[in-house]
Amino acid sequence: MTTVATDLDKIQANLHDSGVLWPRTELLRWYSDAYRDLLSRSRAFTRISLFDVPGRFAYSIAHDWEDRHTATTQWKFSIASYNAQRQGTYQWETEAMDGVTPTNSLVGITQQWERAYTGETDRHFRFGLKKDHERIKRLAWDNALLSPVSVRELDESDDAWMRRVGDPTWWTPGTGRSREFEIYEIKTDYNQGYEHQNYEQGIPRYITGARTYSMTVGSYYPTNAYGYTTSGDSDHLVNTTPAVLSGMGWRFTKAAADTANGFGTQIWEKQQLDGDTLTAGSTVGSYGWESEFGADEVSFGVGAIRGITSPDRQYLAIWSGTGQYQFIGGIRQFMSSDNALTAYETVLPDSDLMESDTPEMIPGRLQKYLRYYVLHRAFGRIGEGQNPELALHYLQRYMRGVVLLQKLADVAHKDRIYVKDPVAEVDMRPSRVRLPSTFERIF
Amino acid sequence: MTRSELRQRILEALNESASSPVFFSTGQIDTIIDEGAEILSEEANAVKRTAFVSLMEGTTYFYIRGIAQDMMAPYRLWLTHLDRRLTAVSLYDLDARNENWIETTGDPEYWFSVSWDLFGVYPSIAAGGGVIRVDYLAWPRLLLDDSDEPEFVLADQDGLVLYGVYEGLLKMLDVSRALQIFSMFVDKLNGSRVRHGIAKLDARAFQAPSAESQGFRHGITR
Repeated sequence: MTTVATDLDKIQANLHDSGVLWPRTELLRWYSDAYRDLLSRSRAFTRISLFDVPGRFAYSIAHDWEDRHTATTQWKFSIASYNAQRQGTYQWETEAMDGVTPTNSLVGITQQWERAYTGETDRHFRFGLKKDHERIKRLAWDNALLSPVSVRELDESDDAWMRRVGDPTWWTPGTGRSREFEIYEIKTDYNQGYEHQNYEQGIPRYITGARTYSMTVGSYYPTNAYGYTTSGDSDHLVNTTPAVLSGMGWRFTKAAADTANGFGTQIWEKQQLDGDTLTAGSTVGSYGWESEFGADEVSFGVGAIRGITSPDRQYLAIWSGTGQYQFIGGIRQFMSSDNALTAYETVLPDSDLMESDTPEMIPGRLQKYLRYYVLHRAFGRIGEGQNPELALHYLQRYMRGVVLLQKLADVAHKDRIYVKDPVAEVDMRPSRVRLPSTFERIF
Repeated sequence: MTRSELRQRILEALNESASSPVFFSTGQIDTIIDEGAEILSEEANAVKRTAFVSLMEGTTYFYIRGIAQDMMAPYRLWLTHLDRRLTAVSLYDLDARNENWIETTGDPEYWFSVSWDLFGVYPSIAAGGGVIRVDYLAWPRLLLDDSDEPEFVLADQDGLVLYGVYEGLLKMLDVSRALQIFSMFVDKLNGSRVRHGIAKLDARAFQAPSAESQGFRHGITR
């Protein structure tokens, strides 16, 4: 792909202008507009997003104006009352402010995940979508499809649908702010697929969990700069000012399960300390290169994780943001679709492009249509340089790109055979058996 | 035609020197030729390629840019070890027929679209080994030097000249003439669509369907 700057150069060549009539910053803004418009019209870029249950929001806010200061997902936990001049946590607060005798109200919460630790609440069970969200194409709970439904239909079918606990079957845009959705029925058990520990210290280096994991290192085997015996040994060598040693160290000893029992160099020493059955030792070196002379080979798991494979499931790299390079960089978040919500959502670029960027969310060969859009806007602008005929022509060419990307959005379109459905479908799975959500109470 | 021959025709049509043009650089004309070839392949599906992708256990989704950088869209997926063509379906089809399709494993039988750059197979691959052959529509490669020739048939290459002239006239702000040339280019595209589509089967005999007709609305029967 070419950078935005290269495309702007081409546009300026067509305009015969080096920024006098059409400043480059103006062209850049139109180029970003074109990028967003092309993706918005074609809905071509779909991202798979996962949501732990209950929902997580980066911020809870009490007043609407607070979203000015929250860059990412936020949930307004408070309820406006008193001519919307006061915000309350409990419903009785409204009654109190209006001079009405307060009645008992359900629990108030300030974060959606608190729902896992409380009883019923009058707050709707909500999930937040990122800034780049455009629309949901498919939503699934625990990998099974949820059907979309309106709030009116839910209101007419269940008087407490927003707090009805059970297996989710439906989803609705709900009554919340934009970029929020709700599910019915709700699942309040606290579930988190992965916990990213020590995230303040950078990208993940190691994965543990209920499943069996192993790590393989690529063909690059770096050697260590020094060997050490204990963490205190390493700390002393590295943290002394000036440092005695630097570079990558490798601990060639094995600590006992209870570190108070010390450590050994051979496996049988550790087993002795742990009270386990002894096994034969081997040649242990303190540098990687000693494997050339019979020592055990050492693999250093250095660098970022570049891929995760499993015979049981796919760990799919999901792009996030409008960065220049989509699929490189560190893993910032792990999510699972088990006992979680999976959304296939079309997304748009969430910020304007810079000249050094490349519009990665569209096929590289479609960048020319972004140029046509900019030329359409430039020739259509009132003032010197206006050329309505050219503006219209470039708009038509841009719209051709929209149609093409709409077609490519269904990447399997070329292999699809479209036929009319018969009146009666016979090979669809039957609807799942559904009992009323109040079934047990009636029973 | 080679790139230099295409460029020469374009520049001459614009009343420019083919060897030392003034209004355009040769690089600009070369870029326009490449862009014309892109549009030809987009509209006429003129460029086709094949790539293999390995089957890995547990895999459902494939990024097309991880299979081939020049891929526009796959049109045929073939499971080589079973000699089986995968059937294209939609997410709706999968949800309608198997609630737990994402957790179903086996030899893939269907494929479906998620995004312009992502597709999946169903069932998910149970056993690794083997490859999927991906036949795909591609964008043409850029021409490498002046002796390089576009992949298209010669009849299509005239269209590249027309596109170059059209772009040149636009740059000269000769809009009315540019639009005339563009409509000629669009005519060429239509011809190219046919050439790369149904006309490829020119040797095939077509005949009227033999099924019983309901007759014409006017009551005239065959």
